[in-house]
Amino acid sequence: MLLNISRHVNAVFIVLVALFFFLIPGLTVIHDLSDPNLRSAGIPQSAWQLHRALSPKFEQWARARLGSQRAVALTTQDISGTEWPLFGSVF
Amino acid sequence: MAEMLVTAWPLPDGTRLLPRLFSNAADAPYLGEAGILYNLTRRPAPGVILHTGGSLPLFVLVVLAVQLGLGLLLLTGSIRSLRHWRKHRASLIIARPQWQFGLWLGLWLAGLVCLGLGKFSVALLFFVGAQLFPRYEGKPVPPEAAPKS
Repeated sequence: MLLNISRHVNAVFIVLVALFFFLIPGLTVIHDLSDPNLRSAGIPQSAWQLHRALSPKFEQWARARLGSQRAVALTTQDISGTEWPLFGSVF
Repeated sequence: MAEMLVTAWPLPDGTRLLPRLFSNAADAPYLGEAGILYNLTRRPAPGVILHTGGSLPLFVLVVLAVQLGLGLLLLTGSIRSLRHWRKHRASLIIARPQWQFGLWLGLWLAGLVCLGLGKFSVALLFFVGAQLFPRYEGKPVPPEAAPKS
């Protein structure tokens, strides 16, 4: 029965959503909060993980942004278009 | 610091969900995550004595409870719904099953195409829409089998 397939696929999808958006993030936060570097002068492990995840995406976005010449067409009143990209890059 | 970590909502692929959503998707999509990374890597100046906060704030515990609670609700709800379907499949009334399956399949294919094009949020909408199928209802209970009040 075809609908049997759809019912099972739907159930698997919900299980994956629960794991991806709720359970794994919750457990990740608990793990991050137990990092002793949060209570000392060290850099927490979550910062290194975020750096590894963010840097390639940021580089790709920055190259595309420069290549697009989008900023040339924006006015100085466009705060989010002209200042926010700079803030993110400075951080 | 704990509030920042819990509200960042870290997904398994490394994305921090809430900072990403609150950044400017068109001009600065990674601003929020870059700001968090900046904060996490600032160290106190040499000689500064650290005063840690002690126990976790209530806010952190509440957000964690909501996060894990919603996840468990979804998980158990999905398993219970599937068990109900398997147990009562024969007694369920399903209108136009081929049409329903076609619609369901169409929504899934549209979602997969959007996923392939990098439109994650649109894909998610199609996948959530597919959850509406199959629509069915239980067979009416004969009067003699209905519970007497």
